[in-house]
Amino acid sequence: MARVRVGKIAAKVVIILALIVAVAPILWIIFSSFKSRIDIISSPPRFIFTPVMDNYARVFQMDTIVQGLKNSLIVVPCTVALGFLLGVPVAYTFARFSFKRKKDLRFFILSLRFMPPIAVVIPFFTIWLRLGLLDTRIGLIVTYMTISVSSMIWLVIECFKRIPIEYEEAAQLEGLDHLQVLLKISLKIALPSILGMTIFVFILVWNEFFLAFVLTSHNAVTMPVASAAFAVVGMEVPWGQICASITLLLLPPLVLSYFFMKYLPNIFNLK
Amino acid sequence: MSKRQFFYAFMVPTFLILFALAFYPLFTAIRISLQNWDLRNSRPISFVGLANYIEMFKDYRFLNSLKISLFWLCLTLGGSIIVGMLLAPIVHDNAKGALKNLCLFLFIIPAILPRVGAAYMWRLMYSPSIGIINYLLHLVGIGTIRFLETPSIALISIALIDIWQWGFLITALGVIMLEDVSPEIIEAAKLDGVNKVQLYRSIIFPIIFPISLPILFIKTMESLRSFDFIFVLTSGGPGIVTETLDMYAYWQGIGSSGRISYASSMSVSMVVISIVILTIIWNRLEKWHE
Repeated sequence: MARVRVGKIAAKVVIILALIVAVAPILWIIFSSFKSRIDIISSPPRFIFTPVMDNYARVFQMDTIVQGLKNSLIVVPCTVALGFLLGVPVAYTFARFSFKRKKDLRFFILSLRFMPPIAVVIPFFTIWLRLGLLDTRIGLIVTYMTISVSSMIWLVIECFKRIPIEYEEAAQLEGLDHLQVLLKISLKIALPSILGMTIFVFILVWNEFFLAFVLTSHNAVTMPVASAAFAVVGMEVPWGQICASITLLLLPPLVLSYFFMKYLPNIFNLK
Repeated sequence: MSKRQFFYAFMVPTFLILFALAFYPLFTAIRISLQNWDLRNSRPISFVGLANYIEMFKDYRFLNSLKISLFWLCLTLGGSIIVGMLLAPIVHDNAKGALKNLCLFLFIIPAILPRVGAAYMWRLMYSPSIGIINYLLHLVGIGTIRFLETPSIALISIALIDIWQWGFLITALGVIMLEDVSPEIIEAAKLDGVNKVQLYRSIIFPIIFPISLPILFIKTMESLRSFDFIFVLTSGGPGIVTETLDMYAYWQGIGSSGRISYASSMSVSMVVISIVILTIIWNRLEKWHE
């Protein structure tokens, strides 16, 4: 009996430790963003300090960061909206209709969704270079559509499949055509999970770094690119500004995570 | 709207856009990879056949980057799965109610954060001078470890960040899957006197394996990319010990050399590798579900 109790306590300790490891790095960088220069570089690390807003004041005076925030807040919603408009009806078609080459088209969507960026980025670089669209928001949005449209289709197919087909059949008997069924019945029922998937795609695009890093240099930099610019500044690492801009970068995914947590298992339901 | 009209109104435009976005760049990449275009050189661009592809397989740095990418794939995929397989049963058996919900919520957070953000978090913690990890190591009497500057451990230190993101995610998904295993099976096994380790190894894991295939698939594809971490943490160094394929192709094509044709040949190779891996896994998944 005692052995079982020791086992239970050990398991609880492991769980608590795991929770700390999962969260501590995030809290540490957020706390550090409120530290003064002296507190940040002090060794041993200070756990108790007077919070200051200096780092944020300095970050909001930096052109790159302001530009990055602005661009991200334009590019990401546009990309996601396009993904939604183009992706949702196609996902419905995949979920409910049978047609020629359906399997091949699904494989195409899948490979677009999971293609590593290095395979995509150099060709897009050359194309935008020739068209003069390098370092523009338009170029970036069009490039990002490969991710957002394919991801939306991929994820939303399952949302529609989970609706009992009887609802749609009943509506069709009432005389609604395919578009009306989609808009008035299916979309309404599946909307919460579709919005969950939309939030996921938003986070996916918000977090994207490699494509934006190569395809932008100044005018169209996104928030991850602006934050990573510190990596090449030199030997003296401005940790205060880094922590503040990273905290800003983390904010949308952290806030949105609460809303989409419920739908997370759906994402991994590939079939 | 008939089915046919619906098809033409929605499927056709979207797929025309997607085909354009997928195949135009691909054909551009193939064409450029057969040329000798160089951003730093104004000589006229000419057709050079397969020269770039032949050079690739003689290029020591390319072969090195291929090896490191493969190592990265094994480390991050294997590491995340091991963490998930060890931690999920512990959480499932011992955390109930609020604690379990807390675990499910917090274990998912690292995975949804931008990798640039995660990279800086760990760079701050790994720092030899101000990092909290080295501070904790000092407390237990271990000397300073230069995680990102020591060639033998640099790649593993970076892979740990990926495992931090994915290991916890797989744990959370594992707990969700374990909840769905029917209690009758477990009761029956317990009546037979099976202990916990045997129960998981020979009964529960085989049951959830097919359901977990999509997760392994997504993780495999994710592990083909590592640029964000490597760029922020080491840029491929020290030397070239953390130079993965995407890092090297970037340096060649855009970063410092401007050899866009040579980099394109690597892009095309990466497309081929990805399609091969995707096809294999896709066919496996099809079979499992039949």
